Amino acid sequence: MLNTKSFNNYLLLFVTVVGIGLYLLYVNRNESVVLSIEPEIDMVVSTPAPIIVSQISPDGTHTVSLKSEADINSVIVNDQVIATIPSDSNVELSIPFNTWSPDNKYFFIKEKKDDGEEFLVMSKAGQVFADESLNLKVVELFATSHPDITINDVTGWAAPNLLIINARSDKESKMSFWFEVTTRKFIRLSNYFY
Amino acid sequence: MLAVSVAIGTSKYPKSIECANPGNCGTLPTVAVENEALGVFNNQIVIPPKIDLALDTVVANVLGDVVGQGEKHIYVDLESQTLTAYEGDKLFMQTPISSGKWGRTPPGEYSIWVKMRSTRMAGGSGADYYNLPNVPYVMFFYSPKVPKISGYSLHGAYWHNNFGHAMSHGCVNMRQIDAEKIYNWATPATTGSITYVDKENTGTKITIY
Repeated sequence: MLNTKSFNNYLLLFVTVVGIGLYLLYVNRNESVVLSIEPEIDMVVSTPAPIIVSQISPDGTHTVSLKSEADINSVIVNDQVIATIPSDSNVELSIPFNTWSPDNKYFFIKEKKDDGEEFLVMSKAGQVFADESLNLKVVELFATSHPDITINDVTGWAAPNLLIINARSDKESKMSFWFEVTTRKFIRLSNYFY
Repeated sequence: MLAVSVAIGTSKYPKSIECANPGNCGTLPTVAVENEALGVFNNQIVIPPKIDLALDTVVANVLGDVVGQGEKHIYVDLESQTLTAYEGDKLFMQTPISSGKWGRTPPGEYSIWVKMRSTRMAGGSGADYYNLPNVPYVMFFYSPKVPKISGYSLHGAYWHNNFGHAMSHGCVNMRQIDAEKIYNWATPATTGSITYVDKENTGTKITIY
């Protein structure tokens, strides 16, 4: 038979166990509460770094760079922006190795599009040409005088004013022209520069 | 006798030997700085770079510097139009060049025999005529089959910029900045505006293929 003293002991033990259990529940609840609270994080959207490509002139005195950003491409000559070209996701711009004319007066940029390529000739100082244009579009100009011939590539300069153009037609797989920048004339060559 | 007569500029140049610059055939090259002269190439007037020999810094080749120790060797790949220079197994330079279009650049194994800071080169005729003063950083090379009087060389070219494609009459054209770098690196170690090889100062080997 359970006497009063034993009952009190069991009761005390029971209360103690329950108390410890409640305490542990309380602590865990707080911890879970603590863990469930996430600090607010400010979302920072970083803008992509501009892509810059450059080409030095053969004598080492000039550098032309193309700085491509989200909305605009900047054409930079010796740290000075001389022109801007709007960005287009369907157009890839590049600076060929032989971009500079031998006298460093001109350079050309290659434009690669879904429907073909264009080559833009520009002056070092960003000066406009006789027709008030900032650049000469070689493929466009060539097409008006040679509609049946396709330009394969513009490889470089044969002389200070002469761009070398390699082309083809249905009848001839290899032909070369010079594009004279000052007169904007195309000169068919007897040999080719492939 | 043949060597002596050639050296004094007679017309006894063997026709069977190819020549890089017909206008200079039969004579050994000489240093020439002509800052007031104009050049002609592809029927266009070209302005040569001004050269002041007094301002030139002679870059002496110190054994083992720049890239590392090892034999220096230049390779010219005519198909890819590329020059590659090694010092031992370390790459020193790789760059597009322009070899012979109107005259071939003969493949073979060569050695540089003289370096010149500047010289004049001429040749061709009609629309192909060229006459170019102040050709910079010239490294003439030769072999038993291609004698010194043939005039083949590596050098800077200021009259065109179409490297990676054949453009020359036989020589190996380079951008001026590349020619300067190779000139200061290749042996014989530069001692002045003109440097000949000798027993202690031999010439870098060149392989053209």
